[in-house]
Amino acid sequence: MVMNAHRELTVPLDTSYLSQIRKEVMEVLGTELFEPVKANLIALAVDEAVANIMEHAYGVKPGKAVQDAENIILVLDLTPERFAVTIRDNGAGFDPREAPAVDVKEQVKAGRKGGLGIFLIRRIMDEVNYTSKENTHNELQLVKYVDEAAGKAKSRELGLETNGGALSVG
Amino acid sequence: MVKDEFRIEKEILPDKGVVLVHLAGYLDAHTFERLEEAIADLFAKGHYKLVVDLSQVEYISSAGAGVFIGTLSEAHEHNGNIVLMNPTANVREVFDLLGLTQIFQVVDDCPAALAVF
Repeated sequence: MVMNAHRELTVPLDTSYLSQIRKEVMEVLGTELFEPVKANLIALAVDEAVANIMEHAYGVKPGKAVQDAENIILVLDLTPERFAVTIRDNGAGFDPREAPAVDVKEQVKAGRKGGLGIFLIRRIMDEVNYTSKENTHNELQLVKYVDEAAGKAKSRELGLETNGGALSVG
Repeated sequence: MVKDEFRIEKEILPDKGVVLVHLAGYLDAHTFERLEEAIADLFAKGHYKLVVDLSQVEYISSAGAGVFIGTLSEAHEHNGNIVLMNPTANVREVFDLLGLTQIFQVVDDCPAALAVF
């Protein structure tokens, strides 16, 4: 029964690698600590974070890889208490915690589809931590607690549930 | 390296003027543009009544969901609709998180989908 895991990934700036990232995350998560639907949501949050970085920090378009020596580094960590992923990049910085709230109904009316990835990350994960060091790198950390109550408490503490992360549907 | 596949097939149902769009595989930031292009092509040909079969879609991210969000209004403006049919558990979970089940018609089977039009 594996309840601790650590894995480091170096990912080229190419959206075709998103499927490999999801596979790695699911392997690290295993089957003991998170039920399958929850594990899929965690993999989704990581996917969304990396896709955002590729698009907004580096301008990567689907199917068009960007040749850059720096790549994106992911560090995946699983303990009996939590899963954490740290994503490091050297592109243009953007703090996902500062993204505005999303009104999906208004977006549907306007035919607009942006901002949903960050919204999902905030809804799924219990912690979203971000640091940006000028001229070095950006670091985004996402954490999901195994114990749901602990996760919700941390999420509330950090204001993830109400600080621009609320969903307005109608 | 794992590369998840994504497939699109279209089936025109002449009786009701509805197009059944069968999707399969993984709809993410790498594959969503193909769906976007397919829907744009259908709209360009005057097909605004779409039923999207999601029973074989194993994974969807915001990029994929965004395609539906970005096209529903245009379908409505032309007296059409985009009905989402039989999503898998993973896909339904993402739709619930985004609140899409309150905005889109989500049905379990083809008769229910066709009854919308």
